[in-house]
Amino acid sequence: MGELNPLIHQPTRLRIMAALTSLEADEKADFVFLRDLLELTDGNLSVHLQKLEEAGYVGIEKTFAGRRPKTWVAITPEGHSAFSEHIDALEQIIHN
Amino acid sequence: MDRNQALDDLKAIRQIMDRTQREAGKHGGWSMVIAGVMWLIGFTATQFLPDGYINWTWAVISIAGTGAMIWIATRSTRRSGVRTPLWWPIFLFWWALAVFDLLLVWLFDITDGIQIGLVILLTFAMGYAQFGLFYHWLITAAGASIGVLAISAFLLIPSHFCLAMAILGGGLLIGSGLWIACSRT
Repeated sequence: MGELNPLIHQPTRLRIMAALTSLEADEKADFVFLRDLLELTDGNLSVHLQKLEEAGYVGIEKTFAGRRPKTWVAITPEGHSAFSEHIDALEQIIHN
Repeated sequence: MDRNQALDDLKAIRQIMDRTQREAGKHGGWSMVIAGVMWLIGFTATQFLPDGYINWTWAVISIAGTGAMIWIATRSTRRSGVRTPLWWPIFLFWWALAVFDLLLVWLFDITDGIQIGLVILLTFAMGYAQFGLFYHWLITAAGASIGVLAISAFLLIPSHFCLAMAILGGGLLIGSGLWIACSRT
């Protein structure tokens, strides 16, 4: 039976991963977009993104749009894989 | 973790994924609105204007509509919360359909205005139906509905085909587009 991923299992990080997984390949989400979508504060989202980045599940790119800084977030292949395994584990719990 | 908690987690995942796709796809709604306005004006003109004015009307509408769609896409790219490399492929997809229609009309020497309108409408209806499979179910529904409306109008009220497509087809695209663009998640 697959194991639940303890990092992804946390409710906020689970929602972050769900949001990023639903984007098309090569698409990236803006930090503000994620924050508003998931109804989080800047600090809360930053902390969770940092944890996911350290685990290699998301990639964070900082750029500028004119003079305004922009932060783009995308799920990595490792993140996709870990999230899929976590969903499989959830489904196994349901079906067992 | 018990079964109910797992079910709650999966439900939360599904909700967030749906919400994300809707928010990321909102820009497509405004393109549909523009297309709907183009159809409303173009098909109304086709119904009522003398023959000599119809091609010019469509030429002007097509140029203006394409310009508006490019402006929307560029603006959405800058302001959207999702950065995608798909803008130009999407744009080319729709233009490929238009070129396909031109080829069909030319190769089969279709000269009847209503038949030309039906070919264009069915091609774009199929385009919307397929496009929506990847982006938003309402786009698929709008495409399928336009196809059904076009065939029904062609068979049942051919003398008012263009007016029917202007009001019903154009209206459907505008309504669907506004719903996608303005819906709150």
